[in-house]
Amino acid sequence: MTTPTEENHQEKEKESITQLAKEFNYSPFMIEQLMKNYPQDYKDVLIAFEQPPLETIRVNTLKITPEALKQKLEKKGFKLRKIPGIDYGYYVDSTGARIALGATHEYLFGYYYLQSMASMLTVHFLYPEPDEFVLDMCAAPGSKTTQIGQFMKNKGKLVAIDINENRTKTLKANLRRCGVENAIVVLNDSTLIQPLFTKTHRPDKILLDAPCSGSGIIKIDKTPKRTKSYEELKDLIKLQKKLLTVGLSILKPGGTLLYSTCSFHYLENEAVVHDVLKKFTDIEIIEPAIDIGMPALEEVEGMEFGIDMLKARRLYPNIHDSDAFFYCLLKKKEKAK
Amino acid sequence: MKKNTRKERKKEKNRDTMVLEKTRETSHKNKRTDKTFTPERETNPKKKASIPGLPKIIPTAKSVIVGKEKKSKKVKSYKKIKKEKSKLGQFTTVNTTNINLIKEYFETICPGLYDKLARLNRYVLYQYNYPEREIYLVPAEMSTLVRHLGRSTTVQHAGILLGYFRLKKTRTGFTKGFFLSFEGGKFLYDLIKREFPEFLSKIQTVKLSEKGEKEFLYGQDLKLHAVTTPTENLKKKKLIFVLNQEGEYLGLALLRVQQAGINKPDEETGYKPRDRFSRSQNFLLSLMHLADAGYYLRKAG
Repeated sequence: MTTPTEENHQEKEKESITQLAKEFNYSPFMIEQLMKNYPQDYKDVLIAFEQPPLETIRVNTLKITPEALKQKLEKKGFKLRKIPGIDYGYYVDSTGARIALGATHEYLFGYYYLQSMASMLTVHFLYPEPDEFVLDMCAAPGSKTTQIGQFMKNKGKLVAIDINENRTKTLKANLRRCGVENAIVVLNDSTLIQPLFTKTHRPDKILLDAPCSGSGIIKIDKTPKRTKSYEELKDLIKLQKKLLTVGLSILKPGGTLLYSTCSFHYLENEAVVHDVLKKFTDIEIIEPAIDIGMPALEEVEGMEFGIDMLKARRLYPNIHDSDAFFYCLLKKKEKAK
Repeated sequence: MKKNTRKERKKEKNRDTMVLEKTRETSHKNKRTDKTFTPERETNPKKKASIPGLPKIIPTAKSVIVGKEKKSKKVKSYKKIKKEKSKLGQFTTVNTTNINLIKEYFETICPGLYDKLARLNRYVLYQYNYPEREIYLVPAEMSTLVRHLGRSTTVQHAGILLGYFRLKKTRTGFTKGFFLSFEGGKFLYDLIKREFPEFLSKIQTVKLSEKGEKEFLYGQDLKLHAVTTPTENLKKKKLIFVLNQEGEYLGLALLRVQQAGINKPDEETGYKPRDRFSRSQNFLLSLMHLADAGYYLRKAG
């Protein structure tokens, strides 16, 4: 039974939800979700999502140094400012340039890639190194895959898998433009790849940038604002769990897997990792080497994810001036000899 | 009495065609007793997964009924296409015939280049057959993995896209020929610059003016006015590496020699008005665009 004061409180909350939903053109379900995921600063997050996204580029160090590219682009009227913590990333102000950032000769030569700061951080957290075997499970259109190639300096093996043939065309074009020479593009469903990566072919590192609702990139794409219910997310969550299970099973002992999404829903992030980890005894969440972002959520709506979940990271649009991203680095324990 | 309405006529027609099909089926069944009909052909090809890009090969009743010679010919082509079908979409190593064609092409760029590249022992040549035959240079350390994945799944790309096999126009018709891709050209140019600088004098390069660079990256052919380096020694049918003023690789081109027949001879001198870059009053020279970096925007999106 609810007391009259509780009833009053619930009514007030409902009212504020409908008001905010109207004001910012969201569905009430999405406002509710924002309140659950950002209980302290959901209003700031709502305001931050309304801001236009900052133009950012990643310098392709396989082809040019950041300084040389900065000079070239500044000659054309662009203003570049370094992204703190990322040596090869720049914020770009195009107001003084006559040409679009995606149509310069430098872009065609593969000297840079138009990529958001939050997306760049994904590969930064995984930190692939030359001579490793890296697998990108949902690779297209290739922003992170080309960044992995950049980190690997074209040495080692990089397998990029995607299920959509049209998207793999873009992936291939981007790999070629950026001069990534150690990549293998595979057209396949990543939930079915377990038999491909057997004992002798187990990846050292896996990037699982899972398909998600995209609620973290509302600045760029406004469609997730109108997500109406949990039912719409259900299929995605199922797929995310399946992909993560496959990824963790094929990972080499001692290897790491980065699970990331561009969604703020804990249901697609902490809850997915927590549920999948119940099946594995040899996987642990580890802290990334770079200290960027805020700790992930330990508990939401009475669901506890454990203290280890604090090692995972979240980007907040209102704090980090970026999209809302989730990153969780998982390590497979070495087998005892 | 006019008994045939449109509906009735249609029904009759359908009945006729059905009867025809039945007779065809029975003749088909009868022919199955023939010893030459292999069990392989007895399976229904309709049931097999079709691969886009190739016509469906279904043995018709006609192909079975025709005389012996024709029959064997049909069976052969069916098998051949079936074999081709199975190869489609596979990432496999390049056969000797194709290697020889690639070698021939490399010889036209710079004699001895292919052998030098082969001696490096760093790459393995692979081919992907769908939608056209693409040739890839796969780093040797990746080769085992490529082969392993290629056996059980669709590998679409690995390493560097060196070029394509396409039909090439010759005097007598068409023949299969190798063509270097934009990336293949970049790889070769960088390789020569980095590891075989002695070949730099043997390959053809031109530098373009700023305006020329822009036009070339839009995929246009160029007049030699856009070239800032000497053009006297450029040869026809030999690949040209196109660079910008800073020496950055822009793409590939060929020297085009066109007849300048449309220009009438000057009345006073009796000569045709001569292009500044032409080596003869009868010909006009230009750069024929083959591949450039702009295709990423034009085609790939």
